[in-house]
Amino acid sequence: MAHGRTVIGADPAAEPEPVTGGTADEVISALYRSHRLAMLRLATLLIDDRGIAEEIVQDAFGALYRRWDALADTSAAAAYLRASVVNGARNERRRRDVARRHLRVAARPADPAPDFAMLLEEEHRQVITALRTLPPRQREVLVLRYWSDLGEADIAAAMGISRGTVKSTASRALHALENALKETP
Amino acid sequence: MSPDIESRLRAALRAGAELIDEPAVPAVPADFRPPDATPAPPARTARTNRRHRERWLVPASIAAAVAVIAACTIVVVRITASQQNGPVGPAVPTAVVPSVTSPSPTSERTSPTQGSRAVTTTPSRPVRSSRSGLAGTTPSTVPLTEPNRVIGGGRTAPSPVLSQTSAPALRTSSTGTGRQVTTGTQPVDAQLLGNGRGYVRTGSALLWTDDDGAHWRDITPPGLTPAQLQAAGVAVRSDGRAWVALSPKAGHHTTRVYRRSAAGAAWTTTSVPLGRMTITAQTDEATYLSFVTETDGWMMVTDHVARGAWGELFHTGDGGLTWTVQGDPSARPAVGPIHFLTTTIGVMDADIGTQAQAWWITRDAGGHWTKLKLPAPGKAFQPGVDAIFNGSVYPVDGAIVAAANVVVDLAGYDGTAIYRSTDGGKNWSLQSRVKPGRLGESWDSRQWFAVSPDGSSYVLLGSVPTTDGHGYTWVTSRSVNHGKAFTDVTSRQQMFVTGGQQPFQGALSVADSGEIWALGDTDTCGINTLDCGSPAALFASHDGGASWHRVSLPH
Repeated sequence: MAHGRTVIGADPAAEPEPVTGGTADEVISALYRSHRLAMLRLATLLIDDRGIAEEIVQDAFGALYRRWDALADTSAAAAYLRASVVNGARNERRRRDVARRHLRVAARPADPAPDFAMLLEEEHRQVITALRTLPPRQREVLVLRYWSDLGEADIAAAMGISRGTVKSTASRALHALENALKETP
Repeated sequence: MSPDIESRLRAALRAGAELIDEPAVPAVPADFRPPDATPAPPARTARTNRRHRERWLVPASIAAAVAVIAACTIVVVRITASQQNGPVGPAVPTAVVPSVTSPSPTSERTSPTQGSRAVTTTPSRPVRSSRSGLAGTTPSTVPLTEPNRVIGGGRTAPSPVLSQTSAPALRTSSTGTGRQVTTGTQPVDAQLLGNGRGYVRTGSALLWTDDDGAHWRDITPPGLTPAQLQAAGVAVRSDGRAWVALSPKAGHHTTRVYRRSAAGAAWTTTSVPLGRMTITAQTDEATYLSFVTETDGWMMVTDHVARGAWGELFHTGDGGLTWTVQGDPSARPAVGPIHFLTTTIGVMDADIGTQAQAWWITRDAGGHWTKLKLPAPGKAFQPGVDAIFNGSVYPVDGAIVAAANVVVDLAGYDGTAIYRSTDGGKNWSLQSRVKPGRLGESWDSRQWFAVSPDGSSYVLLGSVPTTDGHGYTWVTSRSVNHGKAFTDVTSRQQMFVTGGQQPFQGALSVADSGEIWALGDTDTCGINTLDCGSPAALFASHDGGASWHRVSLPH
């Protein structure tokens, strides 16, 4: 019953860490090659904007680099990156909120990256659109669970919340998603 | 909830992710380049600094040597020019050269290593403590409205939410499997065991008190790393007996159980063969432990929870010396934290995101498990919803009392439903529905529930986010008539009860005396804030929840 990986395109960060030894530069470069795309996808699913997602991921690796010596175990790097990306997406949302409140203008850049959801089939597009209507933490827990394929403890670590909160948030999020889909014509 | 919502979501996320691909010509190099404009020295690692210094050291030494030799040559030329018969020319330059070049490489090589990797601190043992956390404040009345997070040095880095480029605070280390864990003196779980006794598991130690938290003794099994302690199952009884079951390493076929027979006794270890179970997990494995007597205990060893439930349940009848496999794992519907109430009845909380997400109950000591069905607490309750979370189960006066947060509608905060079963968990009746403080509506609300061992106190802690989304309002409610009626015993306070990492226990515990422990935080965390999930502190109340104070845990 301990399945192997069957989900294609999911987060390789959940896989065993192949990186061993080496200098910080070498290890981080290897992590960058193996994890960047997954982190970029995670960030985009959380924040929608591809350009911002690139920045968030770049910042996450920058932070990992700066913190490298403080990281007790390099195998924690993937978890650290995930938490950084989730955090980066939150910061971006907060920045947008502040901009909206104080400037009363949309915080979107003049030339936003095209929305990937527009390219999806109708069925998938509805789900992604419904997902975007959820409160941020509900959306995070669903993306981490159903795309990054993480378990309760890892989601708790990535989001900085307790396991009980993961469970209650996930439960409510699934129901909220289902209701949002029902309202979709 | 229709069963296919999970698969629809999974498919949509996968399709969406596949549209997000690297551009044909990457805008960024394939290798990570650390930003050159990294601010401030601490941002760059000591190791990198050392390398950078060594890089220019060689040319610098050569240049220095060349300069000295050139200078010497000039001197020699001058000497020979002025004193054509003098024999001493080269003596001066050879004495000068080493004094320029030799000291710098050695001093450069040693100094940068200091200060790097100084991350974890080990607790001194035995340890001292004071009743209250804050020096200079009175013990029992620390106002909970002021956020103060430096108690006990629990938080090691400032909240990361403030700057765009910051990363999560590194108050984590690793279990060796990529799982982040709490470090330092932050409590992970805590339990009041009666008569002033209790234990706390922090990020780095297992602590024991027998005077209501005034003094603490570090009882961590020797040689246990913080990461091992985090992933371990822990059970402690009021007589001081304790067990710590480690999570097995990937590829291993045994796991280790520490046990001690009394307070102050030495730890002994037992190696438990895992039998047919092979640990493949790289993430998320955990071990759960539950003891109901000094001899009878259960251990759930789990593996690979994220992608399919797998776990083995073990039972001991001799206090942890020998363990036998209990039940058939392929017939078990789920794996997760276990909590036994009697020598035959136990409950299990399944991992999220599977159809198995529910509570399960066994009445034959773990041989068979069935879904624990609680009756709907109200008309609006959505049928088929396994909305059991932040729940607790207690044996009280021969009956079983269970409580769970109730979701009536999606955005709703509907309080806690309290149930009672008098037939060993087969049938349940709704005893009461409680909403401490009549707090407002929010999807992000939660409550914690506990019953004292003698059943004299039922306590509920409820919280909802404040309207500005930057904090939680939190109320204690207590019943002294077996849960029939609850009274709010505190006014609204800014405190966030996070609960421990272990379901069924650790969040809140109540002693017969009315003493209460809770894990929480007074930080101004809210819906939009990251850093309010891990409990930052242990809180205690000596008066049934009317007033609370932080309990200082030793460094």
